Amino acid sequence: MKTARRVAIPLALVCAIGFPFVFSNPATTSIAFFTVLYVAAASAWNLFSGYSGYMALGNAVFYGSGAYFIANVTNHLNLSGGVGIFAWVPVAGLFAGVVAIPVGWLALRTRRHTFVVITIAIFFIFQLLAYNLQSVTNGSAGMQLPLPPWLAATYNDYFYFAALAAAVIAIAVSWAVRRSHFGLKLLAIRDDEDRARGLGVRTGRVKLAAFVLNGVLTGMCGAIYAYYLGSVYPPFAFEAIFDLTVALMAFLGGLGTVSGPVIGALLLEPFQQYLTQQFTAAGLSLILFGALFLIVIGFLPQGIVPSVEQLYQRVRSR
Amino acid sequence: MGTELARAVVDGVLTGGVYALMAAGLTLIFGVMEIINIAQGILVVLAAYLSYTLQVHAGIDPFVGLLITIPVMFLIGVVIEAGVIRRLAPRDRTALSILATFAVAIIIEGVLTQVYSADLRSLNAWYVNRSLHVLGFYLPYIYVFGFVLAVALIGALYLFVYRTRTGHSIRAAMQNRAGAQLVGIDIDRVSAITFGIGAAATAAGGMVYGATNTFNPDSGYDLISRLLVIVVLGGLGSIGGALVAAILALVIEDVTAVLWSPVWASTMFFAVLVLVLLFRPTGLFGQRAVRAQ
Amino acid sequence: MTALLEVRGVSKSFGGLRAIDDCSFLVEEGSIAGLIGPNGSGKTTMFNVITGYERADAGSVLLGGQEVTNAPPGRIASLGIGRTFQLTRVFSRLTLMENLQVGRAGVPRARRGELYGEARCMDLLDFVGLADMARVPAGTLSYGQRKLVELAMVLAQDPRLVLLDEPAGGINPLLITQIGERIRELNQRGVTFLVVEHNMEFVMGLCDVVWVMERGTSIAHGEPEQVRNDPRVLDAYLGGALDEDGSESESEEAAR
Repeated sequence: MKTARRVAIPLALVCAIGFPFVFSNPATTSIAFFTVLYVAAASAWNLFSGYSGYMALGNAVFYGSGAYFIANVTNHLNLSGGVGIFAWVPVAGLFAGVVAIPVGWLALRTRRHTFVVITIAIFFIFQLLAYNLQSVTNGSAGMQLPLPPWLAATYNDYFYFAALAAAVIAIAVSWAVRRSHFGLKLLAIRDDEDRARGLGVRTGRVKLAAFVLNGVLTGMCGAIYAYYLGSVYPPFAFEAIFDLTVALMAFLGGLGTVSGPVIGALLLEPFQQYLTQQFTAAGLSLILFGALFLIVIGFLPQGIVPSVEQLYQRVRSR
Repeated sequence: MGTELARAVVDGVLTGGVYALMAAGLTLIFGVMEIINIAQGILVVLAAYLSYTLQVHAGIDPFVGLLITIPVMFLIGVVIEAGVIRRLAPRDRTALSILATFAVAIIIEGVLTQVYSADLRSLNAWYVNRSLHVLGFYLPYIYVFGFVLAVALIGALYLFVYRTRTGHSIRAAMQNRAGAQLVGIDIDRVSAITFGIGAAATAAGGMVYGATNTFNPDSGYDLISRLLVIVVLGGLGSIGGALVAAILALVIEDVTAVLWSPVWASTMFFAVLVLVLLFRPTGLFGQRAVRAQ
Repeated sequence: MTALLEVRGVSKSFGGLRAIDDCSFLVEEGSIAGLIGPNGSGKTTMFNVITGYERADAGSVLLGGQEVTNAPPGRIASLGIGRTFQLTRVFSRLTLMENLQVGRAGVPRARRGELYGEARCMDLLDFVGLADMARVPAGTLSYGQRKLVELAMVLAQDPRLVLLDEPAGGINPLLITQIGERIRELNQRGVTFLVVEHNMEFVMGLCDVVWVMERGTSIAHGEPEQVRNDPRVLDAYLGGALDEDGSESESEEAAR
């Protein structure tokens, strides 16, 4: 298994980097962009929710915060479009991370059931704030970002690579956390929080740290997305479906694993893009998406990666 | 200003009653089954569409139509429970239920969009546009009727849960699921009935909602967010808490619209939850926080 | 010898139920003490109160003379009290080695390297006979094995006092003997034990002192043989003579 991984990862990286040069059709690179962006977002979500077992359904808060941050920065500093704007993406992530501190502190005071609800409530508060804080967000009129001077043929590629960088960072962080003592404490919290606390683990701090980390990474995704779209509006920046999609991907691939969200995103996002392109009837795509969700939950409650691992173990022990 | 304020309070109480009924269904489901039914919001919308269809295509008055929509919604609830909820793996049930009911909600939203399109609809009847003139206030009849109906139904719910055998089983299951099973209570039946009741509660609420608002399939999100806030504010599992929380939150929202600005009113609605949870993490009437596993 | 653990006048009620009623006892340093009593006498609740999982309504708990009443469980752990659970609580999705490592956060920083190095952890797993399963998820272990893992987890934190909640419950006799030997070994190295158990043979053979609880309060204490024949104790246990396994003797049964 280990040697397979040692070969597979550099290979995957090479493929990922070479992808837009081989498949240069903008329609394809657009799908690729979204896929890689969701790999990053799903990994970020899994970092907190998957490892700790606290399902957060308000990550769109950080996505939107990152988006509005970069919109504000580019407007106030009168920046013109170009590669330089990407430098602000990590800063947007840090901003989202700062937002995550009070949000996390508040939400994590509650136990699991209430926690989910309060993340949803906070999400709606932020959406409403986006509509109402006119001075910062320009309300429903939205904000524009500078248009980069790139050719249509390769326009998507720049964003693709930015998203790829974010994805690599997210995966690397997930992996590092998983192997660390910090990650161990998170997983222990997932299995038996009271016991962990009884052993001396500072559960509050651990959860908050993971939550903030998740916020930073998700914020970066939001910033990249905003730049790609060229504009930021309340319903797009703070979108309810975002959290559900990200959760589904992590779930499909395997909650709490490093590769799970990656695989989940790689499988689902192209599928979702295909759905939106093929089925212009909005209702039908919703039905299919919901049905798919139910099938995944019903048949693969553990997700692909753990199920495959179990199968592998069973085969090996014969 | 004084009359406007009083009006806001009265409005808040009246609409609060209706929201309380829908939230009561949600909190009952959580109390008995420990699952959070994210589809409750879209079920309200579905009920609204049902009332609408009955009125527009069969000329049935919305209140009369409840005789049909309540049983139909009950059945839909039972189907959802038996078809989806029951099949969820027991570990992480609550987390899975959130995702599963969210998926169900999306499916229902999709169906509604296909059937009714995204056009805004509304229910109409004589009591929607006419008001009761009492003590210098103009109270739209629909609000008054709706409130009375909601209170009556909540009362009926209370009686059912506290005075009947099935209600007794429901309460037993609420306190101790495994224990209830051990004494022979059919947990599957109780779960199905509970979920059915939770869905049926949306029938009346949906009708009143449809008569007092314009709605389309997208309205489900706003509704579920409010219902969740009310349920958590009141304390998960507490019907009385849901009633108090609904009225409190809606009064605060309406009062904020008058005192401050309508723009910030909805934000205050959610902010109330945040404030309360700061001091009482279990909600106003919630029992000690549900244990982690 | 000074009392390592002292419980003074502790009371705890759950709603209308008075689980612990003005209970007092103590555990001498370096001893193996037993806590026995019929079902429902409040033993596990007492453990919960001592270790901070439940709050005492009244009374105090002292560790080495220091008040630790109602301290949070994490703090109790860092003060040197370890505890196992009747229904084993291990982290099922983590491996045995990982299970041990979780407790690292509960010891002072200065001692972490010394106590949680890979070698010592493997030694601990070896001590409980599970070294070859170090990389196996704890959830796949049998009940008895999980009890041993719990013991290892507790020992990793180098406690002064270990509270064992039914260590012999539900496991085979051979394993019970092994556990008894391990406890004695550790005791000789200086660890104090307080053991809640229903298995009379185990308690009588292992403990220096036995305390008896009934209906939330302590009714007798002394050396095992003393306690076994104490009329108040016999009365508490269904009013009959006690067999080795704590059940009524046949003659008592026949007389009923």
